[in-house]
Amino acid sequence: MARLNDDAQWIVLMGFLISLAFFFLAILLNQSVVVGQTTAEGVLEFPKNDIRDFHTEVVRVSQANVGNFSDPRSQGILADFQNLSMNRKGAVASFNTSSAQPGFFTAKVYKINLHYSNGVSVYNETAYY
Amino acid sequence: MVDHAAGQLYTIEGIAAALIMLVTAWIVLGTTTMYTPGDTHISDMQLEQLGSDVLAMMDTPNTSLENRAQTSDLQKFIKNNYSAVSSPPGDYHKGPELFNTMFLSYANGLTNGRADHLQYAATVYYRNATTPTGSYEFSRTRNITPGDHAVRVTRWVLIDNTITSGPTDYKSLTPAGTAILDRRWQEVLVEVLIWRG
Amino acid sequence: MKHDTAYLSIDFLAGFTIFMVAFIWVATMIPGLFVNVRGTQIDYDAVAYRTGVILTEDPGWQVDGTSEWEVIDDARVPEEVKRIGWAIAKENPGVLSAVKINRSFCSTAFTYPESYQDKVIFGDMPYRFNISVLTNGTTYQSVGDIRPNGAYGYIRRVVKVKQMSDSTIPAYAFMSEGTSPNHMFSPELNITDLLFKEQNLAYQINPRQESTAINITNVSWVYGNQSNLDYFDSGVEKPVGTSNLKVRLLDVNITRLNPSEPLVAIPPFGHEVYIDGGSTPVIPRQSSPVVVQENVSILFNSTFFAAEGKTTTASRIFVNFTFGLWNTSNSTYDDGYCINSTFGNNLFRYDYGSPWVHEPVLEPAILEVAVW
Repeated sequence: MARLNDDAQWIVLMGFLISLAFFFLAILLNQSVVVGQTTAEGVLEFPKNDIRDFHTEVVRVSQANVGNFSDPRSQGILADFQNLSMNRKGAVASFNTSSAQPGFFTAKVYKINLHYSNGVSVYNETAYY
Repeated sequence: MVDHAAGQLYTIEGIAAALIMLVTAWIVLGTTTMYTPGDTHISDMQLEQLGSDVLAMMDTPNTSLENRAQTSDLQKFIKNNYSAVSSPPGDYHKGPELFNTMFLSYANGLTNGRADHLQYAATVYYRNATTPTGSYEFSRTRNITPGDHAVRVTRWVLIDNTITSGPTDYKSLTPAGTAILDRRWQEVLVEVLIWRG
Repeated sequence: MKHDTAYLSIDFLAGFTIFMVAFIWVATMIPGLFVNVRGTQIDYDAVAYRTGVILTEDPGWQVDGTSEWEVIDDARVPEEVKRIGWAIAKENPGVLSAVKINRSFCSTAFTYPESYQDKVIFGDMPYRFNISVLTNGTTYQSVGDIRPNGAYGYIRRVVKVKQMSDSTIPAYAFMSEGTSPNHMFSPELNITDLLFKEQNLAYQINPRQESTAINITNVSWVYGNQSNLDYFDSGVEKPVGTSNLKVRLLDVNITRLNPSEPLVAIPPFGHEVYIDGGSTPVIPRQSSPVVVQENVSILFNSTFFAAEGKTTTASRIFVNFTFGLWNTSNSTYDDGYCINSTFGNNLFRYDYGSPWVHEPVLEPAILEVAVW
């Protein structure tokens, strides 16, 4: 035989083409299902409520006048945040305050640096209260 | 000389093509997974948002006066030992009950007036001089274990345990009546587990 | 030689048949791929969640670049309101403004369903939706279709709604100490003070953005407090009995004092009031005074003070009630004891901490959004 007989290879090629089309369709449909799941998981994963809560709480501490570190009553608050946040929520939450009088304020205010990180999302803020 | 095996090509090619298609189909259908709504975490997301909302609203002062004093309903309930200035008399140690009533009314209300069936279990975590991370159970709906797809929501609460005015000590009390927090300004973490039951 | 060779060989037929059978069998499996595609259900939940966030955590947006979309009048709403949001401010997520909520359910401003799909729901597909709010267990507002029996996207949010503030002024607290022909009572709203003393918008009294009301009550005290009023009947001095005395409201107007400007009156020159709990308002005038037995109420809706040219954030506003003591036995106005601000320290300030002012209260509410 001088050359291979390739008469009927069109049948196999047709079968092959159909398989490829099948795979492609299946991949498309498979990915579509995951869309909704990633939306919900994205919402769950971002700690929106944790960050807001932490921010509100630090402001509350500051306005109750114990965010000032020199006040002995407030010594434990930072340790409370760090400890409970790490053990219960797996996140680093800390803040430090210093009294500041930036040019645009006449009353004494506190400058607060907040830091929150749960390993995936990191939040830093500098605020004056 | 006629090649008697010429036609066998067609048969073989046909069988090969059929095999390819069948194997493909088997692989594809074998890997598709059935997603139940639970797998997609959508109900978890809805419940978590609702729980966070409820705790946040319980922790929002209702009037300008409360805002200036930086007090909220949730703070009063967790303290469970109100100073006489800021609470109705006779409600001294009703923190868990009042928490229960308010939490369920916020979480289970529907706009058509009917009620949903969410259950919860609330625990308070604290840090004091002797215990790095202690906890006590604060309030719950029924004495059963949480169901599937329970969601955990938390809220920080600032407690003032420094008041010892007059003959009465206004230190926070657990539902059992013990005083385990330090005598200082303290942050505790209220953790509520919510599930549909 | 007979030509009886076939066109297609048997082998070819066999192979082709096997191929076709396999192909048909695989083709019938394709519907099985679609079994777990419930994509629309998952999409609806995401849209419902997003709508819930926009309504409860976003204060809204209008072309000016501010969030005060609730004051735009009906004709300009379609172009100028970009996004409806109910939050009071972006610093107060979860605290909603009752004015914004009521405005967004106004069918004259927002057409169902296009306005809402455009300004709240967003997305290329025309989703059907239902948005319902129940405030404090009593007030129910909703827009949209009835929810279907099948699956739909859903989110429920718990929020607090800021209510209006009002004041209830009892007459006995502001009676004049001496007799006077002048019976003008002028409660003051000092806008600068009100906005400065409480910076948190959730608790702030802001007459330029929310409704306020002034209720003067216990006017019957005036009748019982006139020990001195006499009149002359044919030369004989007689005391005016309480049955002969009527308290009349002669005029109600509003004046404004801006810094470095004189006191000016704000239109309408003669504001309507509700007398003794009546449901129809009246406008008292010198020519047609109104008798008051027990109480007078005036209500300013949320857009009154902020309207063009009326007040600024530095204004002091005075609501001037002119009362007269009418002696029916001799048809004249008498000097006497009445509610007024001209005597002593009788100026009423609509302010935080006043025992007669009900500051805005936050009431819990539930929002449900369904999308399908």
